[in-house]
Amino acid sequence: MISALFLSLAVSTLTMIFSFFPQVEVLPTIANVDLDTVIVGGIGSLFRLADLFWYITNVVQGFIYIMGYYAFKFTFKFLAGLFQGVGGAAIN
Amino acid sequence: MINSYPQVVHTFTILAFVLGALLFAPHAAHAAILWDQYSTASTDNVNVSNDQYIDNATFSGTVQYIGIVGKRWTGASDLSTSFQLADSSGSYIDCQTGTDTLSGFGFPASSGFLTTADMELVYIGPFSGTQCNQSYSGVSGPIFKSVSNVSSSGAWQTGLHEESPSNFIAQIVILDGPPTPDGSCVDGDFGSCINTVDPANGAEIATSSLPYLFEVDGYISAEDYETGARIMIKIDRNTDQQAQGALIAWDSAFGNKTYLPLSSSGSFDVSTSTTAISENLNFPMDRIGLYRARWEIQTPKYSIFGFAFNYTAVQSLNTRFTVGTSTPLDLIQIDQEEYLQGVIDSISGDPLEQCNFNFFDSAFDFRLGSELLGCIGGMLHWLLVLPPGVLENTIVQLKEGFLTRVPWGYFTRIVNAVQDGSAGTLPTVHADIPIGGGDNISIEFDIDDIISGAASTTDLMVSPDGDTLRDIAEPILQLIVGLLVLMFIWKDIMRSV
Repeated sequence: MISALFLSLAVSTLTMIFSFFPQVEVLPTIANVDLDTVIVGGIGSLFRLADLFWYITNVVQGFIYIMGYYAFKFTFKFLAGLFQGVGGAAIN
Repeated sequence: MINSYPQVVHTFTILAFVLGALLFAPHAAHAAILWDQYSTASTDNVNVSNDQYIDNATFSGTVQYIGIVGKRWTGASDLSTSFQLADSSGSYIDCQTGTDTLSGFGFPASSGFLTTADMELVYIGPFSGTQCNQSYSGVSGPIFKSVSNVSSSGAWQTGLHEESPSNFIAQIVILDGPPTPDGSCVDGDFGSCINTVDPANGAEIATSSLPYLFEVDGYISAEDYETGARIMIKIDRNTDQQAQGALIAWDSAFGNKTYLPLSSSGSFDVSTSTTAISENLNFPMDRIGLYRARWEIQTPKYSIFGFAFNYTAVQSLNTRFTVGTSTPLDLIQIDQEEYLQGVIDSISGDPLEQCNFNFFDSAFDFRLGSELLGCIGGMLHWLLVLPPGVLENTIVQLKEGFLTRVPWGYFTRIVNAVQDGSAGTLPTVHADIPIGGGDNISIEFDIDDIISGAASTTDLMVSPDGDTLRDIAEPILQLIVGLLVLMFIWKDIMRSV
């Protein structure tokens, strides 16, 4: 409950502060370019391409898994390096 | 071995109890549908036969519940429709009162009319017309007639099967027990319940619309209605509660309340009147700010010689509303109060109950150690571990109040576009090629057609089972990719070791 209280207080304070800022419903139009339409249309096209070339999507998915593995590995090595100075084991 | 014998017996005893409890515990009964018929109308403006013939031969069992659903299509002419039990010749059956309303058949009289376009009539309730038993046991069976009243002529018309108006669809269900709850209060599947309230939770009421009439609709079961059920509405101003030292425990101690009687069982829709507010509720709502409302369906515990007392709530609902416009301070106050309400709700949970022992009585009891540890562990868990739903609510609050604001809102918008995105079409490319003399040849390339025309060939091959090449090849490809990824990771780990 203490953790919930701190969490609630932090979020409520952030919410109160940012309540003075405008709420974003759609992306703005800059130089007569409706960014929201462009982004949404572009994402729709990407989904369409992923639907058409589903076999490439599966390969990309595997590539993302490998990237996730490397992200985990480097994070682990970074943390292990931090603790190495206080008696932690050296991990290469 | 000798010492373990009682433990074995003990274990088998517990297992026997558990098994017995599983076998003999009352299970949730689901009603069987004895008879179910939709009208044949499926489209607008079609004259259909809506007589619902109940043939005794088509079902067996004891009829306990009857459900009727009628829906009037949008765009229909002004039409009121109700249901009426009739015999096979089309004559109405005098079930109880002799009137041509469903009240004689155990239906609430006011619920049988579809007075507005696209309104849906739902009634599911106990079959109370025991006087009609001889009618529906007939060989040919009685008819549930849809009775319409065309306002232009003012005359009752019998049977939508014979004449206009159309634009109506009906379903009748006969059950041998209470219907399975579907989550709708209107159906009364859960017994007495509140459906909607007005003002709704979080509503902002303009000062120009004061005085405001409070309205609540829902469902009252026949049992609760017979005991004298009533609706209680209690309104309180937030600052008044705080002045009395009650941040959130307002529902029992404070508040201006009024009671609304119910006229019948079944669906209800009651509201206060201006008189009720000024005389009973004494609630002018003339100050801008945050208000709270509590809505309760109450039934008396005791009723003697027509006097009912000790009312308790069978269902309650807390809402808040604002007169004027909510301020940021109102919002943060609401958040904190809802959080504290969660704290109070959780106090009655397990952690504190684990500490319900007397230290001095148990000072020389060897169980004290384990009880104390259980108590401390429970309290630490209660203090530090987020209760279910808190994190989810916090994330929702963070997203609505922080992540959608400038400047983070731009990123959130893109993330939402990706999450909610669906496959569109690829853009077309338009080219104007000058051919001299000021003339152009316009060429348009439909990229989607060009690419999908080639790519769709993989879907043209269909197996005898109807599976496309993708249906067959994609799982194999995913398996190969997955194995390659695993091999890659395994090789990398082995190289590091």
